[in-house]
Amino acid sequence: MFNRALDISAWLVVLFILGPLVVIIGGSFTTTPYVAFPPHGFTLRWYQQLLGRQDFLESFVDSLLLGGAATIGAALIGTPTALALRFGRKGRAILRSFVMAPLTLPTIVTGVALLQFFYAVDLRIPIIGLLAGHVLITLPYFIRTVGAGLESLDPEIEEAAESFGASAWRTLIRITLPAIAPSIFAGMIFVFITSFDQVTISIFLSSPGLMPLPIRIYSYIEFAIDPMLAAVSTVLILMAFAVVAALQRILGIERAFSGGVT
Amino acid sequence: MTGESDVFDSVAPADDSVSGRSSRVIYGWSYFAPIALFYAVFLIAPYAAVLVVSFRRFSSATLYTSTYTFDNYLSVLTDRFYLSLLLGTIALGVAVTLLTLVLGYPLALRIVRSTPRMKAILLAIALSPLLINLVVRTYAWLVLLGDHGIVNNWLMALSVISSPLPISGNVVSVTIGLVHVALPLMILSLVGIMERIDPDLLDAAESLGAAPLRILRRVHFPLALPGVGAGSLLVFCFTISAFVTPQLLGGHRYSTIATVIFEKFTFSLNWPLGAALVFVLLALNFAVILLHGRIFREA
Amino acid sequence: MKTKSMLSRRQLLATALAAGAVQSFPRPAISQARSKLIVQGFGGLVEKTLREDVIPNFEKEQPFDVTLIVEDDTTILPKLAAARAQAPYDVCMCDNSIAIVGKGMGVWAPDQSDKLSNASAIYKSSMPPATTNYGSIVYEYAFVHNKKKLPNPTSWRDLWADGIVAGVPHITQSYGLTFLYIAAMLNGGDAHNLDPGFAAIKKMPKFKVYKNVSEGLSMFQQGEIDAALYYSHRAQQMIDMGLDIGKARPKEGVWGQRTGTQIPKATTNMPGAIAWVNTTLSVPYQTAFAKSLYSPTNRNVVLSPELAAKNIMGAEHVDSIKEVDWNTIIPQRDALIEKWTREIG
Repeated sequence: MFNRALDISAWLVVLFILGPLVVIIGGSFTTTPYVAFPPHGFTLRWYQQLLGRQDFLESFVDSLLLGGAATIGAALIGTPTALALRFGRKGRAILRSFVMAPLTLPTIVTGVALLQFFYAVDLRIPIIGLLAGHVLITLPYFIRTVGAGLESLDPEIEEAAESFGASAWRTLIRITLPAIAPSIFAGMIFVFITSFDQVTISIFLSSPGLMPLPIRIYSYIEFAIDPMLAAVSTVLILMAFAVVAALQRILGIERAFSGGVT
Repeated sequence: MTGESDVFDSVAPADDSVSGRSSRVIYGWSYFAPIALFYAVFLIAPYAAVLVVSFRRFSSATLYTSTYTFDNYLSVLTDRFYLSLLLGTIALGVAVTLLTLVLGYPLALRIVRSTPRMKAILLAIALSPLLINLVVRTYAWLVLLGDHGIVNNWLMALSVISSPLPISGNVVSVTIGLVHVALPLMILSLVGIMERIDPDLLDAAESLGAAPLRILRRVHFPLALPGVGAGSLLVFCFTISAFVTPQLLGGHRYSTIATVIFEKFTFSLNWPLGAALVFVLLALNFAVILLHGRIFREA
Repeated sequence: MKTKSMLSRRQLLATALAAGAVQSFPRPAISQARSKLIVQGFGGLVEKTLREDVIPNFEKEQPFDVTLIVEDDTTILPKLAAARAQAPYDVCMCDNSIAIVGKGMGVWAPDQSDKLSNASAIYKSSMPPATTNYGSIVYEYAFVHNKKKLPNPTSWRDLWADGIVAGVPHITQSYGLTFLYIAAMLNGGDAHNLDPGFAAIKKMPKFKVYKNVSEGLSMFQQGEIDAALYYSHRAQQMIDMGLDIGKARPKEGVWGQRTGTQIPKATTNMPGAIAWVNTTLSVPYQTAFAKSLYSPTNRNVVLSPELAAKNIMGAEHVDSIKEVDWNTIIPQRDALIEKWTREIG
């Protein structure tokens, strides 16, 4: 009885989640010059058109590289922060909300603020600006995810290691990091996905030649909404699912996302 | 960063063994160095500049004049329109948070009670809203919820309604769109914590004759509370600073603080007022976070 | 050249990825005589035309390598304002109204008309001092209507008809301000007093707001709106697509807009910017755009009869396109947007 009720409500939520995806995938095959669902007829014309768009391909590569760089940056800065946040009592709430600040600040203002700042200091390398913006926006997600993994880690294990004479560094590298590796990995995926779909900050910080895919789509959509965009999204969805499937096969994704060691 | 000294005083462990103290202190100070440096350069400095702008006087010719004034804050805080905008934004944040919790809880529970294979599939589905481009996703909702969209067409074909339901270009479509994007944040937080609750708990309760819903409320939910806390904070913060979704799904007729800030910075180019709005929103945010921390600490 | 610089930037990013930190800076390619020109332009058909028909020839004839930034003109001003000394673009494509806002902010270089050899062929109504940008395209806003819902509109007042859903262009756009002006004018207001316009829009039986061309287009396509003030050339494209759409010229008259280019005063490549602007005024450039129904401002453009019929052609027609009194309305812009946010959305 209870399981039945749980099943029904869970699948209704799944339906809600998948609704827009179905519209997009279906709409990408329509013969009409606009996204229609259910699609009218069937054509691969929009995919053909997409193949001819060198600029979309370039933007895709830009987004991949940017997402990758942001992921590494967030991991390098975020992992020590998450470790440090485990300790301390009195001011931890304040410190934590400080660390989480970029998430709570309106992204649009962060974009303007960074833009203004980069011009003020005459930063001539736009990539650094865009990358910094992406790391800034995604860091809180990373720290959250790793923090969740750390919470489930029993500090006594580390204390035990230290009491056996292991140095702090050794304990960290041998005990703590391996234990939270799945959450670090989950956090990195989170960062990559967030960076890959980041519109707001990139609107202000993207530069000629470095135009991430969401910005390419955003500027395309200002002037035309046609099923080619549905085709782009379908390709991205399929790729994302392929990646998830691969991760599952290699690592067992449920482990990565279940907040660490159990 | 005034809170730091007392934070790190308390970092030192209770026992006074020298090695323990030193290693923990290393943990604290040096591990915060990267983020402190990064935030100092890329967060505090740029926002300090915005803070300065919020005290400038607006000028349509030069963006702002070099004189300082409190007027921007006064005009935000004494204006019924901005105050109701603030309240409306908070209400939206709370509504979206509660809805994602109500929708996310059963799916998260289903996920942790699945076989590994099913778990991976469901997790991929739960994450999928994050994988579609924001703008395209928003457009899909327009196709679904428009006056002649799929939902209205079906309902009219079934004679459930005679004229289209007003579910696009207003608070309904904005809420639906935001719940959809925010669900993954909630579900991931819930799954993380539910994994640690004994999976047989609910079944055991049922076999003992207790109403599962009661067990769910009395036992399972309290155990999942840390996940609920983490998820709701993420969703709330995400919601009140979102601007593309409210703008596009609101049909440009639904304003939140974030959409007004965007509009002030781009179209009206009234940066001082926009900047003042930013810091009002920030103050609100921090109040919510502290309140949230208090609630979930005590719970 | 362009692909080369793209590549090096990618390689840099890839290096950063590998090293985990950005160590080296991209050096500007040691150029021979050629220099880089950053051009901002609109997306969609404009971008397509620029990439296919304009930029290759321009790069062949001139010693400049073009980098095209696709961006709507509403976001360029905050960027130019933030940039101050070092402009993110060398040439901007913008509506006359946006150019006037920019002029108020002092972001543009002084008038360069005397350095533009093609300027003499341009209708006076599209060049400074009549406009604040160097006009290369003219548009008209028609009364665009779904023929099934509203077969034969004759007045802008028909947008207030019962039983139709009207599309209202957003205040931040040129056509939004124009529509507000028309709504005010129909109800006893004028450019100094637009309040009747707000009241009139609020009194519409049912309306939806669109903020850019594609939103308006998709609203017509999905049947979400039945009638609107909308670009005449876009309506023609919908008709050509086979949609049951009409475009009427109401008896109160038709307004329009002049789109062109401007040069930021902080440009780093003034000779290139001038060469580009001069190209936008040329016959080949405007002929290429007229194929997508972006009507020319150069009097020497000759089109096939079929295409000419769909474009706005001839001195008389081009000069007759009314624009609202921007010099009166633009200074009220902040207050108008504020009022719009409060009262309409």
